Amino acid sequence: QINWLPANNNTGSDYPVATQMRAFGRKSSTAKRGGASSSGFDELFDAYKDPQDTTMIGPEGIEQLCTTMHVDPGDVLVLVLAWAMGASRMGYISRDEWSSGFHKLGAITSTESLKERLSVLHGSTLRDIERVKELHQFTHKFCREERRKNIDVQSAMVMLKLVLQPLFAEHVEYLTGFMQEKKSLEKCGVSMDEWMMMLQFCREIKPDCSNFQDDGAWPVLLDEYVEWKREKQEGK
Amino acid sequence: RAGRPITFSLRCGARAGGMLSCAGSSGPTKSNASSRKIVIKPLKKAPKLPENFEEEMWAKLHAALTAVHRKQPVKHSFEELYRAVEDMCLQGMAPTVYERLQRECEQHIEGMLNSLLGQTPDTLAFLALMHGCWANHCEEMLTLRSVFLFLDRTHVMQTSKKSLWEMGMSIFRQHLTQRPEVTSKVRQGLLALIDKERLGDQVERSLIHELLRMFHDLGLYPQQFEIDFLQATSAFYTAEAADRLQNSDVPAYLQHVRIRLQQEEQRVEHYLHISTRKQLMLVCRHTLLAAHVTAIIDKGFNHLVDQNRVEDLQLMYSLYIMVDALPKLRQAFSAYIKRVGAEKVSDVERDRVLVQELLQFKEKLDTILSNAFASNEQFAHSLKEAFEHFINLRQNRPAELVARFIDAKLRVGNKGCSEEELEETLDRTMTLFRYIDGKDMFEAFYKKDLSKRLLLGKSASIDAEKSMISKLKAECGSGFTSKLEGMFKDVELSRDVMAAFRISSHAHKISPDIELSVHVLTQGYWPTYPPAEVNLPREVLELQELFASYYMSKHNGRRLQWHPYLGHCVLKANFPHGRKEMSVSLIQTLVLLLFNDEDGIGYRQILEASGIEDKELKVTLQSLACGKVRVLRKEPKGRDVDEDDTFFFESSFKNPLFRIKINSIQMRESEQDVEQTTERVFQDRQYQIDAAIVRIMKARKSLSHSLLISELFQQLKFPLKPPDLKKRIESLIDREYLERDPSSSSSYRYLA
Repeated sequence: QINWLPANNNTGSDYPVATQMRAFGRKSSTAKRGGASSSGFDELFDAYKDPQDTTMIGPEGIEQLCTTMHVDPGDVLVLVLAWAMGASRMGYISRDEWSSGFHKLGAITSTESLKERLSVLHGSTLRDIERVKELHQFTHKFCREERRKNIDVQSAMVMLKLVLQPLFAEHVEYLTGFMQEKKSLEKCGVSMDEWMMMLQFCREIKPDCSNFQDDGAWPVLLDEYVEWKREKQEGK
Repeated sequence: RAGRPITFSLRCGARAGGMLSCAGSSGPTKSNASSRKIVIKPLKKAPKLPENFEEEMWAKLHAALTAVHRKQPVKHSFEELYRAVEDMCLQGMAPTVYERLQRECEQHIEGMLNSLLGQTPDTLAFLALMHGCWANHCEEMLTLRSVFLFLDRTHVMQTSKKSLWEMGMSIFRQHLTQRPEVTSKVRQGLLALIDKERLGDQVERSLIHELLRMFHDLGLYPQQFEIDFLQATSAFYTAEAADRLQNSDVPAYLQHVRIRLQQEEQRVEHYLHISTRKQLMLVCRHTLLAAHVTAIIDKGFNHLVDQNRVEDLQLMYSLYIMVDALPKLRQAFSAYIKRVGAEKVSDVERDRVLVQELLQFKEKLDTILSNAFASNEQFAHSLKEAFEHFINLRQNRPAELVARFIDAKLRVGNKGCSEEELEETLDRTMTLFRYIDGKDMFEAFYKKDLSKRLLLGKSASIDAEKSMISKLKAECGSGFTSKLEGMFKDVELSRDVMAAFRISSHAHKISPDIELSVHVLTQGYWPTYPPAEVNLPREVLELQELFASYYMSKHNGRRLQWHPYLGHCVLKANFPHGRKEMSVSLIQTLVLLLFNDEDGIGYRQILEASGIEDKELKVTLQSLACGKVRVLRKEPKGRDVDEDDTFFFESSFKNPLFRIKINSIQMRESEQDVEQTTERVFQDRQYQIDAAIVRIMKARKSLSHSLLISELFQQLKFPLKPPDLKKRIESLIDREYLERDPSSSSSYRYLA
């Protein structure tokens, strides 16, 4: 376990960090004397990088990072982290992605500040619908398996909850309920178009779907969703 | 008359012999031969009226008046009376005369009408009394009028007094209306009589007629009679309608209505005033028909159509026109067709006879339309709409069944159909075809069936085939039939190719006891047959080679692909009980030829040796070993073929015929085939939709969702559902042909 500097940070000096790392027998990254932050994230990266492939942080590394941050691996902040980094593959972060991410996040010296910065980022994102859209779109790309165009239903449900629940709780609840029941989704998954239109749907349509137009341009999946929902309501 | 002397100068004399006699009232007459002068001098004394002139005159008149009123003979002559009137009028006594006359008449009329009070309650008798009263009055007034004519023609005209006749009428009217007891009795009496007549009894029509005329002449017709009459009529028929409708069936009721309407028309002719006619008929039609339009339809319309009761329906139609109820009738007609049609179409069990049933159904409805509904255009339109509605309730199947029906008619072995009958049947089938939405589905099945008929030589008549094609062409345009026509061309061309082949050098290499015939098909025209590889026997392969090399020498750059599943052969077989020739499919041939080298072959071995697909092989072996004609024996016995079965050459095979057909399976269409064809059409439709979307978007660059959908509905000729279109749009978005407009997610943009 790596113990980072306490939260009331010494943002400048990395000396104690380096010391600590040596104490635990980890190789220190090439400590750059100038720019405290740059070497900071380098070392962070090295702390979690995959032993087999040192250009990447792998799933275990990420898990460990989560533990250090006292964040569940399934927490939205992990997603926000991946988004900030522009991670191209779920479970992996490359060194370049890491560094570009840190440029976005600003100076980070500890896991706490990382976590805090991520929370702030998340919060500010939620207040700007265009950013939500970006995050939402990123999520689809992020969850895609190799050479597949669609994301599988389980991921879709999880991600939908993660990303949109704070804003559209009621919609998300019903949508995920629907996706759970619709068997044919298992085969083909959710396409990017359907995914993006789900967000649009949450934004435009009232929770009781009363302003939904049957002959609109919504994807067939959403037509079916509204029908399913109406049937459920009538059944009650 | 007093005044200047008047001097007449006369010339008498030598003229025509004393014709003129000159006379003067006084004064000497001069008998002069030359001009005589006559001087008329006025009277010295003006003549004076006799003293009691007025009284005397009036006494005469009064006596006459009274006599007339009492129906007694009149003392004085008509001339005298007339003169008396004239004289009195000339003496300026006209007003008095008029007044006195009026008074007398009034008295008399009053008296007459009073005599009607408190009279018999017997209706008929009372009416007679009334009539008598009236008749008297008219007669008397007429007489008096002639007597007092001078009064009528001078005094009345000069003043604005009523004419004598009118005066009489006015008095009569006034006093009559003052006696409501009388008027109501008359009225009740009349209504009672009319009621009686409506219930079937005979009544005194002339009496009624006269009394109604009385009312009319008095200007009392509407209030004293008409209003109540119409009400009574309405009540009568309302009750009658309610009763009859419950207790009789619809045709009987309608007959009754017709009779009633006729009767009421006659009533107008017999005694009602003509002005009542319009309202009367309105009331009758309303109470008997209009108020029950729906009830009648609900009660019996469907039954009448079911039972083909054309005359009753015609009656209904003619009656309903009168009350503007045709829309309801048309609705009922349409609903009937939709209901019965939908039942027929959705009954899966009756698929085999569906087309025949629908043709009969249509024929029946056509007869009803022309004979009962006078070929009413709107009814015809409803019929068409209703058919279009129910026939498309079940997608795809009707198209397939119609195609199959036509196939059966065009095939060899279609019994008992003359050329005209066939033409007519095909024409009527075309009408059904016209109603079907998914005509491309029909085309796919038709093509398959046509292909089989052409390749296996099962067409009954090429003329009939061509006629059918031209009907389709007329209906759907040449684009629809171009491929079908191509198929015919291929068959003809193949004949020429074969003729040339047979005299070519390649053909000489064929052994003389084998006859080869090849159909060369242009791929685009014929149905899609999946390529299949089977292990053809050496002999067949050699034949294929020879033909192929010949053909390729004539046509460079073409590729030949053999379709073993479409071929058929005539096999010569030597059975212990006799030589036979068997009509078999090429696939069956493959299997049979294996038994030339071996006997007792297991299923798996046959499978491997022949290369035939598993399911096909099972069906094939079934046809050879388990059907009516068994040239192979299967062990263990049974109807189904299992992988562990073994097959033997049936040496004990016997059959009365020399030529045996065992390839009827080729003509049959399995459920699998049907599914495949249907699927292929769906696939094709998807391509067409995709192509249409891309084409439209490419032209428009950017288009809203609803406009795109409506364009597609216009351009594409098969049944479309918006969800299907949406799926294709989504697929194209996925494949990046289109994208959603970033500024408006209900619009699309073309991606170059």
